[in-house]
Amino acid sequence: MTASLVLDAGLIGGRSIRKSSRNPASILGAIVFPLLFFALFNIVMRRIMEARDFDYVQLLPSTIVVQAMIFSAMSSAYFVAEDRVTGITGRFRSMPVHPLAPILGRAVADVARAFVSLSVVLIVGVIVGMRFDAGIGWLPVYVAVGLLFALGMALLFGLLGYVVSTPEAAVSAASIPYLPLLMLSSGFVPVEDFPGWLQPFVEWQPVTATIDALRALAGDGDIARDVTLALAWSVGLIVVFGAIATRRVRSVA
Amino acid sequence: MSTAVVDPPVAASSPEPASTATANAVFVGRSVRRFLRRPDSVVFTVAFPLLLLLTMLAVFSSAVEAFEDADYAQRLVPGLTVSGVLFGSLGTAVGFWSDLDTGFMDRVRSLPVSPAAPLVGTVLAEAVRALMAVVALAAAGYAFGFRFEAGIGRAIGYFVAAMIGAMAFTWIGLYVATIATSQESLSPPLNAFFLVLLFFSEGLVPLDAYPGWAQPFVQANPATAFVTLLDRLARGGDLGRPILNAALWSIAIVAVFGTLAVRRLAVGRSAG
Repeated sequence: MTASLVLDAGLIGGRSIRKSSRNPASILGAIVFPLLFFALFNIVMRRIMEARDFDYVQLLPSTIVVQAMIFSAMSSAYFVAEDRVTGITGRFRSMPVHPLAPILGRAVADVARAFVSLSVVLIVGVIVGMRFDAGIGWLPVYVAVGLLFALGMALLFGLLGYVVSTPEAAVSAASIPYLPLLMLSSGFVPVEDFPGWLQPFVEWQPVTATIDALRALAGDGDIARDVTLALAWSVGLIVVFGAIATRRVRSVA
Repeated sequence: MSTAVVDPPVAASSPEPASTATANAVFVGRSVRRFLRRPDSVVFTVAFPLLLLLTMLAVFSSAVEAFEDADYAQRLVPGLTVSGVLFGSLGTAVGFWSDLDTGFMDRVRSLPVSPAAPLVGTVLAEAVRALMAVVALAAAGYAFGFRFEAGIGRAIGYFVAAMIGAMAFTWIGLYVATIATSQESLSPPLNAFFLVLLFFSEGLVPLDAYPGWAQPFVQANPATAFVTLLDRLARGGDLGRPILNAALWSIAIVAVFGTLAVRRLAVGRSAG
């Protein structure tokens, strides 16, 4: 049973990775758009923020990493919807495939795509001047925190793929929560810059937790506190939405 | 997408082609109805610019207002008006692409109507769509300090200028739709191009905030031309140069992309 789960999930995950690596929109979303936003925010906001002692070169790459993780989750919503609409999800259900394999395979593909994205942003960030002042030994933890967040968001956005009519509609629906989640965070300005009534949300929401943890791992912040909070959010998202997604995939037939 | 909602404008018994005005009116009506019947396109036209306005105000007001001593809403409402004009045309481009892909345009070509009528209809409908977004932005911006300080005449001019901008910029998307082979090859490149136009305009931050090398690009950007014109219409100041600038850009965009799109359609492309 366990062997078949690993094998089935590997096969389904491999298929998903091959599919997204051949989809131009997915490649653009994973590589080109994060780098574009990185460049644009650097050009537009850097002078303004450096006047406020907010070092964009050091702090912005972690924001863009988290943005790229959300883009990756939006791609996941697209592919979940596509697999459902084209009938392959139902086909898997009708075959002797381990019932958890489609979800696990999807997760493998999501994490792989997120890893490509994260690596590209970090490489460009380091070229531009970002430094791992907390020690390069924290880099694997940095990557792990980013990927766990990507997986949690992919399971959350993936649910949209089960309820909307088309893959494009899944992306449209995901872009509504995406904007406030990303912007109303510590990613672009310090939390104190927000209106007072909004600050509690900004401070405690998962995107801020993850960005702060990544920044701490690169040398700005309290690693123990920030990473604990980020992991709590990511693990929570994975457990809750992984369970819901598993139930959804069983009901598709 | 269903496209077969328009009756042929010519009755079977009549040998006379429809007049240009009738044909245009039919296609404007079709484009506007198609837009209104797709809930997601209404949401994206009106709700997304508003969401962007509220979010950007919450995030960047403190920082930008510390950098320049002025209400951020006064800068951001014209900026996001141009943003709404640019990104709104994406949906129109996708709709036009599906007209080509589903064979609707081929069907129109077999009818006794001007081949330009669907294009004219699409562009005029785009102006209606833009007006909805701009009214919503100005109304919401009012709550955060955006004001028409230069009189009713210029306030009306503000909305007219935004509609003219929408009718000009939409030709870029229409042309790209004629060369795109799939919907995925249409939206992301346009999206990236419009993002660059928006970020390199003075609609988000003042010119001094840009690094020195970027400032000439900011000043030469057609999006900046419209942001400046809208800003003068809202707050007052010399109008001659901004009007000339925006008019020349509009004419250039329509001349280049309109010609390319019409030529592309005239050679009888088959989409896909």
